[in-house]
Amino acid sequence: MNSASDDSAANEPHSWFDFAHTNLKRSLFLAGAGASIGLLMAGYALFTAKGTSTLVLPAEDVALVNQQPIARSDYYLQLKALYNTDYEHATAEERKKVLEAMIREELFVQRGKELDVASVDTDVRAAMVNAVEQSIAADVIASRPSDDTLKTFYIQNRAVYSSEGWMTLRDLVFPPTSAAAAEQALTSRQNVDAVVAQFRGKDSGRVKGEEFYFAAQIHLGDTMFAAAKALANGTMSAPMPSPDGVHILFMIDNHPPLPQGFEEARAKVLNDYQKAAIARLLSGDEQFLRKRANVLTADDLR
Amino acid sequence: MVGIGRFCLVLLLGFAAWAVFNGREEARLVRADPDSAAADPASMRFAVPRGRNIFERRCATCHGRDGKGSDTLGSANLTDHDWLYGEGAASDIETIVMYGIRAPNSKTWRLADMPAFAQKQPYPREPTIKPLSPGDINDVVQFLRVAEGRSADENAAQRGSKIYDAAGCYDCHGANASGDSAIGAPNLTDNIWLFGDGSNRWIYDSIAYGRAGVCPAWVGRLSAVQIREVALYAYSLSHSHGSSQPKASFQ
Repeated sequence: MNSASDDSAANEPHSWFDFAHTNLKRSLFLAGAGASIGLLMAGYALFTAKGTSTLVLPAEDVALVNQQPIARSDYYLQLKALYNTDYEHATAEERKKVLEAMIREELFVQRGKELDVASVDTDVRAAMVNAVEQSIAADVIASRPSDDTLKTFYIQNRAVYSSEGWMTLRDLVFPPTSAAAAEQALTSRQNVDAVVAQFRGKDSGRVKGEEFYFAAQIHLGDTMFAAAKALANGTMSAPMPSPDGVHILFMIDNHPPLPQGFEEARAKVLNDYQKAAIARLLSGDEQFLRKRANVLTADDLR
Repeated sequence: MVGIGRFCLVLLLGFAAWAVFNGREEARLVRADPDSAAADPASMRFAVPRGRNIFERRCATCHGRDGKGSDTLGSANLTDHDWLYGEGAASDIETIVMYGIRAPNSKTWRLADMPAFAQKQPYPREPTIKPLSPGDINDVVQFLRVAEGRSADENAAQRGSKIYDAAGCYDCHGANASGDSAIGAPNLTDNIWLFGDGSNRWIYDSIAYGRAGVCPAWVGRLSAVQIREVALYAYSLSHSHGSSQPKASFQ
């Protein structure tokens, strides 16, 4: 009696979740599920992976030329550029013409690769260099730095973020014989025009009205500009001898560059940060390419 | 146990059905041309929620989660009807999403920048453009205030008008300062400002120090479907289906 009851218990199938014992149905189900998932993944990868040879045209493309896709978005843009129409309103002939032109271009590009056109054509070489540089820069442009990162960059380069200074001044020229007397007269705050007339001076005409610092520097020259930008409103420089006479600068209105706040300079800070990051990345990529390349140089150029 | 097996089978079939439906909808979405997709409510219902997710991850850092942009960064408000590039059609928006503005991409929109007139060389691409003096810039600011219908110093505005012509501002912004969306030159008469609040100081800074905002090119970083979805989402921020009125029903 006892033995019979033990046999029947042993033959009874174990529960699905009884992992201590084998369950045939569970094993078959899990094996089947695993195989199905594997097949699904393999199928998906087969028909979507880049470079996979396939007879299925992806929905986002209008053609595959030797497995190289011609994107539908490019096709629509081309249609618009050539016929100024969208796909819906283009005639069958227009659609066909654009597609054929794009297939032709792709075929010729592929032939160009076979012929290694880049090794002989300077335009192609320049375009390839430019394209690689752009792809490196694109990584930087696509990832926005945080505000904290930008603020740190702004603080590190604060001197760059200031307005352009400007000034209004008169550049007076006196004969060497009367320059000292003219200086004295100007120091005693006499009317400038009266002093110019009295001491046979003249306005050099180099600066006219309000000028940005960079413009004043060009017009006055480095030495006189250095003297000018240090002047306060209503003051004059020491006499500066020059081949055309003795110059005295009289400052009417001087606005030195003002630092810009972070918010004010934010767009420029972002721009500069990205430029610096692109330069770093380009340099890093070049180093990496040099490191992995086998470059032999001529003896006389080593 | 049979119940669990059935449940798993239903789950598997459900997943397969979802994958097939999704695949078909995605294919339908990318096969349509962008403007037709934007005019199709079913496509919009499918694309807009998915596009919103992508927008929040990729675009919101500049344009904000609400798409209203930032006037300190100069990122455009996408919820109004003022379009800097193109006319706001879904195809125009998609082109920008794909190739960007002044992005490192050969097809990007890069026809012009705003010169910096307080620099020795305001616009290196066009060396004939000469710098302006601070007074000239202030006069142009007054001219633009008049063009916008705001109060201004009339004499300065008259001088500014002459400087506007002489400096070649009309070349991009047009003779009446109403801009040119073919090259991304803003309309200066509509009181919509990409940078700042339209105050004299901000306008002065734009003229003095130039502007050249950048939008990344997402082609190669997002799939064709994702590009279409985010473009349609951006389109939905300012357009209702089949009209030019703002609407949020398909969001």
